[in-house]
Amino acid sequence: MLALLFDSNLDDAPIAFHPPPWVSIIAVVALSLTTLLAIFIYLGVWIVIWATLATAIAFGLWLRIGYAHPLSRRALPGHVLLIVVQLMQGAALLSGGYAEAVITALPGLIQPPNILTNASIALSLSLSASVIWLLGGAFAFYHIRVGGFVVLLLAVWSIVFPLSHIAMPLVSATAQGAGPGLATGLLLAALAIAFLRFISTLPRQRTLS
Amino acid sequence: MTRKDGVYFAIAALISVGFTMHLFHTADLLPTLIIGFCALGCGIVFWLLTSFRAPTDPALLLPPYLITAALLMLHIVEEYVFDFGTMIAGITTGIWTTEQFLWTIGFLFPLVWIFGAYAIARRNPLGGFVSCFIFVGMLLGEPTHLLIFPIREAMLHGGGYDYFPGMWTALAPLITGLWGMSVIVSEARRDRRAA
Repeated sequence: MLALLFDSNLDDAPIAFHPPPWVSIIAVVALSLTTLLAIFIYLGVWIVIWATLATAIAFGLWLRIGYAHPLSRRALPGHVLLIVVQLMQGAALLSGGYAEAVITALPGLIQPPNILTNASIALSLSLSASVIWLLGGAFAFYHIRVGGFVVLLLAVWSIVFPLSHIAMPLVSATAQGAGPGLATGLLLAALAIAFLRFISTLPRQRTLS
Repeated sequence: MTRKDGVYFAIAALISVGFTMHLFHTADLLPTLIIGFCALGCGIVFWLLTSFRAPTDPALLLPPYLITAALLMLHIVEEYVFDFGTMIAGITTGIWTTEQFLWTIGFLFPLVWIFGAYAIARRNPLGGFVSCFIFVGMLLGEPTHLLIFPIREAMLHGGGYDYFPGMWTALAPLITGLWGMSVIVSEARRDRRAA
């Protein structure tokens, strides 16, 4: 008698996991918006400006080259190299005291609940970001659209974030130079530009449904 | 063993010995046994027995490796946030501080194993070494967060079995690590049969 309470007309025939393609656009927008707001709350305006710029460019690029067609798996070694160099840049930011450089240059921009310390920068931009970059690489391996976005986002972020070093002395009179991490940042940016050029030469894959 | 094989083995041995010595001088015997002996030592043996001569097909190995690497990084985030460095120093005679933990486990260590994904994709033998050391390390090392560290903490400092930093995410990379190990073993067996 009670079985009627639990039973249904569902059967166990194989069903492919096929959400409609536009779901990935919603997913990218939702995840990006949430991440950017978290960056704004915890790391402040200065970091979120560059993160928003990178996300917007990556989103446009993704719609052009990564949405209709999956990114080739041949992009993966380059993506992994960028993660490695991004981690090296994170080490340079930590050892040089990037957070203090930003606070000195832009004291009015850092307000509670911002926690802009070297530890918070390392935790967010290096350790936690690496989780996203690695998972994105795994998703891109399976030609999941969101993974392609993450691959492009890392490449664009690798170009945009080093610009913040150059911009800091231009927008602030109290800045003491470009701040730590400029050299590794430029290396990262050069690698990312070469990587994006490499991606653009790869043949397009089949169209994703 | 060809000359090229010898060079790759020497590089792997150098990384293992160097990192183990660094751990022993900063983190004491317990982390050295877990990472140095379990992960690096047993990882090298596993590598020599499986994919040393014929690197595993990257198409099969990359998915479990990338996901394991991501989950391991997530685990390191939990450890860092909850101050694993000083907690482990509290149950050993190590001198790890939060900052030393960040430099060693947050930056130096991941440089090696994230670069491993690049080596796997390029079918370089060092990718085989790094994947074996990570997968074996997840199997032998991560359960210590649940089975050894909290018990030692309770024995030394009193109190009951309680949270130890890294506990909630410790077993996640073990799952995908086992997936990776099964790929390496089955591919090595297939290669042996083909030979």
